[in-house]
Amino acid sequence: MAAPSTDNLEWKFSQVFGEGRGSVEEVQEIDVLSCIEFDHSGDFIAVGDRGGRIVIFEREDKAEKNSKDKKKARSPEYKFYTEFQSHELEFDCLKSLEIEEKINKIKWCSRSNNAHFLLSTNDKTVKLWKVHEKKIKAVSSYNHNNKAGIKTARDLQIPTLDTRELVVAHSPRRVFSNAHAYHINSISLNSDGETYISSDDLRINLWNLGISDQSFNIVDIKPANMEELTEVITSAEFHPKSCHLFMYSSSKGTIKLADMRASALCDQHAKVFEETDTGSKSFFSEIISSISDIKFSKDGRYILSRDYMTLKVWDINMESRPVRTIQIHDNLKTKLCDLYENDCIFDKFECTMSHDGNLLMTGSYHNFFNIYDRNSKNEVQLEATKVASKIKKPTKMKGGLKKKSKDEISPDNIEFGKKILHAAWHPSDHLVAVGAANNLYLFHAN
Amino acid sequence: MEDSLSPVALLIDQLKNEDTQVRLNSIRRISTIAKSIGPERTRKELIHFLTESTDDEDEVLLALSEELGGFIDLVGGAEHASSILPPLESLAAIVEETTVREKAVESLNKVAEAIPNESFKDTFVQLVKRLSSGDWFTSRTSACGLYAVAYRKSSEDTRKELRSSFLQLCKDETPMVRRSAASSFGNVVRQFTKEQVREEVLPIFNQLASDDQDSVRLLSIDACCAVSSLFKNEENVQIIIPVISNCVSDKSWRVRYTVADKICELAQCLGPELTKSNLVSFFIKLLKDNEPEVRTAAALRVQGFGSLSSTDVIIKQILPAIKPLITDQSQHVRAALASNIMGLSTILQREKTVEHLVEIFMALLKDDYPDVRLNIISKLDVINSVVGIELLSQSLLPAIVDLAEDRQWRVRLAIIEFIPLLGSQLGVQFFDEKLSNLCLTWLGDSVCAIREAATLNVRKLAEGTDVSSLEFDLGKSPEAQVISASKAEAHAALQLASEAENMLAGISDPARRKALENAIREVRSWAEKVENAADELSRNPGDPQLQAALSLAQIELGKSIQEVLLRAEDQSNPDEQVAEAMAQMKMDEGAHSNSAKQNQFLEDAQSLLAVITATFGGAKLSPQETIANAKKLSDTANQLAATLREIASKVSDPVLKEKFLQSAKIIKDGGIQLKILSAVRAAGSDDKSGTVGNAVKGLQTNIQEVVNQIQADSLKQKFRGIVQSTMNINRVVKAWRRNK
Repeated sequence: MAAPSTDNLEWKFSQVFGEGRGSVEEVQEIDVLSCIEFDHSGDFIAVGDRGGRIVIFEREDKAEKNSKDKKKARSPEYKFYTEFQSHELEFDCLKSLEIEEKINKIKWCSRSNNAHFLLSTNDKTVKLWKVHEKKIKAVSSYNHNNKAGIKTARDLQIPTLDTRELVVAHSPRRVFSNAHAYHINSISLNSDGETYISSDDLRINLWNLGISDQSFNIVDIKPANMEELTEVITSAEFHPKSCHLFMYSSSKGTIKLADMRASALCDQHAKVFEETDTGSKSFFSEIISSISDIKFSKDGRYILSRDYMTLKVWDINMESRPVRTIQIHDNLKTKLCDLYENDCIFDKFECTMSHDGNLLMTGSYHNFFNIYDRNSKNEVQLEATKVASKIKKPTKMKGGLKKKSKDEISPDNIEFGKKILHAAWHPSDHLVAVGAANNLYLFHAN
Repeated sequence: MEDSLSPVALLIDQLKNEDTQVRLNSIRRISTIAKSIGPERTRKELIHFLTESTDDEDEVLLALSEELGGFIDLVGGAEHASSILPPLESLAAIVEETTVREKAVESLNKVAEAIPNESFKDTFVQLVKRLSSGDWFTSRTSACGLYAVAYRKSSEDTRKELRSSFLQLCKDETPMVRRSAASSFGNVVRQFTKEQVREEVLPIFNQLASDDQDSVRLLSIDACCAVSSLFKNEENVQIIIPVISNCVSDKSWRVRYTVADKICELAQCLGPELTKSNLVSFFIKLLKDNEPEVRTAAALRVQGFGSLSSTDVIIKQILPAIKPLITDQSQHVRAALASNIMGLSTILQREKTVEHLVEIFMALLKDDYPDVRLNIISKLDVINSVVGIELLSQSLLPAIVDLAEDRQWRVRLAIIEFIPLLGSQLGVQFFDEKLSNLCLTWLGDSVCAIREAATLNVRKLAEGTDVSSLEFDLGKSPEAQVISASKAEAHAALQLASEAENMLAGISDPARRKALENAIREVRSWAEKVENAADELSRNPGDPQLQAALSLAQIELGKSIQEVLLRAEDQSNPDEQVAEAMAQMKMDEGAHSNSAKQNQFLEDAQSLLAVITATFGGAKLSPQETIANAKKLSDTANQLAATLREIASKVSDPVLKEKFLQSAKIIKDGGIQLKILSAVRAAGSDDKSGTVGNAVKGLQTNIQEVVNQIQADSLKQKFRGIVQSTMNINRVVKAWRRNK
């Protein structure tokens, strides 16, 4: 099937949430966004921050989105839905360690009734939250208000209920704790609808959503002697269709695909996606080859991976090399030393794929983020900014002929404090959400 | 009237209380409310109210789902039963908590039974249809559980509809619904006719059995039984066997695990013929599976599957497959095998068990992993009833002793719990000789749970078997136990003496005879003294001098007994038992002398405490006097610490030793501290802050603590020592009697 051409896609700014003018200095640490996730319908966006809060936005024009002409005319609008505290700052007395409340990941569960369920995790504990619209019902006709007194059974009154208003309520349904000795970096729900995995630096555990007091360890890369430790797990995800497959990436730049059918402990991987060494080694090559994020395409055929300098697309059937490698910020190659100095080289950029798998997105510095066409050279660079003059004009996807365009910023002027680490793609629309510091930006194309 | 109704009024109001617990309580008693207001208002008002209040905490909803199941009489009997359906329907449809939905489905099934056939179609069947076409998968999963009853109570035309909609659910896009459908598949399909199954169900069944999701496939195994019951063997070979065969070689270990887990049920459904021709080979394949979990499940079914197959099959086919499991890499597989294989002996009967199974038991008894051995030992009664225990007893003992001293206290605990059983199976003789020692050492285990179990064990032993060496009352204080044990020892010693006297005649050498006579006299007199000292002590419990006298008498008794043994035994040809007992006694002597040393320590400590109270207790002392006294005190404390260390060096129990060494250090430190402080204080002015006084007090309490501890420990130790030596004496007496 030929992929639809992206030549006519025009990206433009749609909405921004969050206070401030977008400068780095005035932002409170706890307000900085730490993850973004669309629900399966795309009508809701959940955003987690370093302060342990989850904010949910709801699409305003839900009702009218089915009528096609209107959809063309307007870009989607989201509005605030609810906010709640998911995790609190804790202190592990045994290890004398503070456990940050920062939300590392949020995942929406598939809906089972009119409530929403989402999993959120900080470094140690995964929680299952229920968010639903609760009808506040007022009770009338209490028996104790009956002044006349209750003489016969006839006088007993069953309360009658009147619905007064709807509120969005949230309640913690389950807390999955005490299963991770290291920091949890990702959680992923299985397509079977009843299990999920949580992965930390060295282990991956399998949970049942209904059972919070037991989990199964399915991957353990901890060496007997910690001095022999050479790599850590950086991310893990279930296959979107096959309930028995999942993949995890490592700091060494490999992606391993494992099959849970083969045995209870999945230390033996089924496939390894690894690029045989290309080019020269340097002091930084090990650091920058660490994979910060991996995603399956919706059909499960492709894997998108992000390391510090590149975005790679792998075909699940070809382990030897990626089908496409995209240099994200080639212009930083000369600046690696500085980036090491200011710790930016350890930044973990996320990557994401559009619903049809044809467009890829990942973030960079200076609040830039890039969208690439998987099948052509078309690409676009957008900036998440509140400066009005920059956001008005729609930007077309262009053939990236690597010519030095005028507006390409020189590496020396890049603000490394501004970076887009977190990104999410609407499950059925050309709509992306990116997080820059404490702000959530939405961009839309048509 | 008002009085009897006001509690009900309160209960009704509490249905909407803010506190979950209060609401829960009220829901739990909702039948009371219904009774008070009568069937008509229950139907019209209460049920309506409950339908509206299905947005609550799970525990309240769970209680509600359960209570509604018993509402049939409260709404006016079967003809009105359908009025209960609305609240249950909404519970079954939208609540996300599985337990609540399951409870609601359970209650719906109850109500459905009561609904009269005339109205069944318009009420319940409609409900099932609504749930089956619900938007959320929760409602569709609930629907699956209702088809069995709906189908049974429906007429033929409705049935057709129900059939097709159930089979539709089996193909639902959500795995959760398919799982639920697969779970109730058996119950529903059982009611179909053979033709219907063949035409409509089989394709769906095969689809479930080859579902993308492991979790669905493994549930289809349950359905195999229901489907197979409709067909003849020849047909099942075509229909069911291929499905099972696929599952046995499924890529997912969880599916294979389920087959292994369910193999007995499958064998029962399919009957002996198909079991022999097909299932046996499947079972063997599972026993050899790559995944330890699967092998474990299969190993746990060895007995069950064995009882469904012939002896011939077990010996020729299953046993050869089991043998490699004895040396399986996974300890869990071996443990599972050990817990189950004993059962085969009842099937194979004595002769074949001896021939084929005993070697497997033996091998497992020597396993490195304690659980494996434990599992074998815990099932000994089975093999005992078939072949008798003698065959195994040779290899049994080392295994038991090993487990008794295992590092894991849970293992020790488990073996303790089997000791009474073993005692009764192995007989008094074996027990007295080999196991009674173990029972006594457990009483002093460092883990509390073990000591607790050990005391219970001793009681059970006392009830179940005639074990003379364990005659002591556990209700008594440690000292009282020591006293009664001492008496028992004296009694045993007197018996020994009279036995030895009988031997006098057999000794030809006059010098030796003379010496033995003397020794016997010694034994008698010391035994008497022990008894007297014990009596004395029982009259004045806690008297340290009497305690010392008792131990002294016991030490002498021990020596004299050794003397008797030495003289009475023919040294060129000593009896093995007697020699062993003698060696034991030699060792115990050391312990005895240590206990003498402990007594010494106790005395010293007591006198030191007395000195402390005397000097620092009342009168005000001049600085010089304080220094002198403190110095003296600290020296004495030092000596005490040295004695304590010496005691510790001779104690064999590592925990006790550590405790003693620690106490010695505390006392010594206290002494030094006192010395320094008093020097400082004398050099300076008055002891205003009372630091010296505090140091003295600290030392005092420390010493007192150690004293208390040693008193308690030494009593325990003493008790053990006495019991030990009584046992030794008894052993010799027995040996002599036997030789005679």
